[in-house]
Amino acid sequence: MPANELHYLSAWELSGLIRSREISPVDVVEACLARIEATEPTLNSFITLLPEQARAAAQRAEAEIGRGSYRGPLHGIPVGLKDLFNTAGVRTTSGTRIYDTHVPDEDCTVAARFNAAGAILLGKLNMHPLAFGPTGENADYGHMHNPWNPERITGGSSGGSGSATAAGQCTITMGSDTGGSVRIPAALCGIVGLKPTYGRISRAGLTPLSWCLDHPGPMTRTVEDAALAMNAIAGPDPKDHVTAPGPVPDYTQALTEDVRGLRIGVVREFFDGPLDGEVASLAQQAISALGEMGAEIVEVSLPMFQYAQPISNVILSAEATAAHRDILLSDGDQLYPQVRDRLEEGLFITASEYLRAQQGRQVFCQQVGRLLQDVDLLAGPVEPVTAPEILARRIEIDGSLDGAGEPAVPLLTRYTRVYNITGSPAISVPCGFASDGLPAALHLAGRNFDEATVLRAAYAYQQAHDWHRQRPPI
Amino acid sequence: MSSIDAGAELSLDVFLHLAADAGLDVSDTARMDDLRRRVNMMRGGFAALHEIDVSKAESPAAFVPDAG
Repeated sequence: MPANELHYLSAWELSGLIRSREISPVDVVEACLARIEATEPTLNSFITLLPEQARAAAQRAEAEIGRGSYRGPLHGIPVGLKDLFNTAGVRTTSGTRIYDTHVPDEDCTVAARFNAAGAILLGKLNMHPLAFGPTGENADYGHMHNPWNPERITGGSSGGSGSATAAGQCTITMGSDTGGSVRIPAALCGIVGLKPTYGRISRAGLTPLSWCLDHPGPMTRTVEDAALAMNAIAGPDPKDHVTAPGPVPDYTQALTEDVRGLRIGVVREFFDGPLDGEVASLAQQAISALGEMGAEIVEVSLPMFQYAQPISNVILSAEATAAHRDILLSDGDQLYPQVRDRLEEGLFITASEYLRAQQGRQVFCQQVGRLLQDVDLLAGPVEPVTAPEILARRIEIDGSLDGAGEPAVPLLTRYTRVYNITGSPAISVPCGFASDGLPAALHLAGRNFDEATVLRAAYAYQQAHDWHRQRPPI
Repeated sequence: MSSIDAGAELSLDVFLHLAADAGLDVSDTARMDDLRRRVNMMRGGFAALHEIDVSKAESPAAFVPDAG
């Protein structure tokens, strides 16, 4: 295996080579560090790099495996964590200089479980400040850049996770998703992003944005790597009271390449309103491909979709402001202006409005739940557009009502926030490229705690295409 | 001070009262004008929430006593 290709191997592929000792974790980590050195000046994926710590961990992994103490498929695999996952002894900034010197004493549960699985932390990844934005802008640590075109956004808020994974800087990364922040950068950077069911992965030790909407999730280049990451980190955690009790399945068992018997509902409302024609066509082609592979495709309607934005906005804004009120008032002038603006707006949401939105959320969930009694999955595009230019505030798109373009924030979260409201598992899987050379993605969502069916359909689609083998030009 | 109707536009008096109560520096007039414009735009979007029939939906913020 040429050393210059190791950084693009999946964890699935690397694990076999590491277990058989054909390659060493030291080789893999060195390949990723070389890739980071070559691409980081353009991408700016990291806030904190840990090369020496990673090299030492790789040597320990090599020695352990040499002694026959192989821990499993993530042993020796390079990972990166969005910089709101607490890491013991390593600063965790949440993407703002206000926390530039914050060094947690304790690992978050996700980091601890990666450590236990033998994964090697390469560094802490850049993010939209406080995770409060879908674009991947950051004035404090520099904006994130899309590997497919560095003048375009990565998407956010887990933008560094998206670019690091897409460019081969890390094999697996973690993001957090409150309105789409795993799936948006996954879609715009051409990788896989899984937002599991709310409560499937512990939030303990993560900086909150919205307690009842935050979902940690893996970002990978392949569906099978998302399954491997889930096997390592999913499951109950006494430190997070919302984690679901009970055993977690082996998600790799879902990777069958067989979608026969699945009913997939195409949500009619997702294809109304502002949606780029090419992106719509790519999503429709992907859904048709699943139909040709044996799934039954039916059209369904979600009238409550029109209320997704106000429900999500009220809950997210009120909780984000509650979570960050102290720094807003003490250090607001140091916050990224758009983040400060959004936190200030949240001060003016009343308790009755918040509770009304929570009631609306219940009705929304009931309607989605009824749909998922009739179909196994809901499908559509992840994003209505390919990656816009960095700092674009309005985006020209087919279906814009006033010709002035659509505001970027609500547009980028248009489809993704639906499944933060419901808590449903949802995946972004690459489904082709538009004429601008940028990736588009298929969105599949399933019943709560049925990540297996989501992964099964995504894997079947992936295996029938080669989008996951396309590499950005950087 | 008038009451705050759900989703309604905030008058200048009500807005400044709430802003000061929340701890914001209300002496920055230009900033407060901009914030009030954005807040009223945001709150205008909330009116749609009242189109949803929530008569059978209890807020999940119900209190569940600790069994232990």
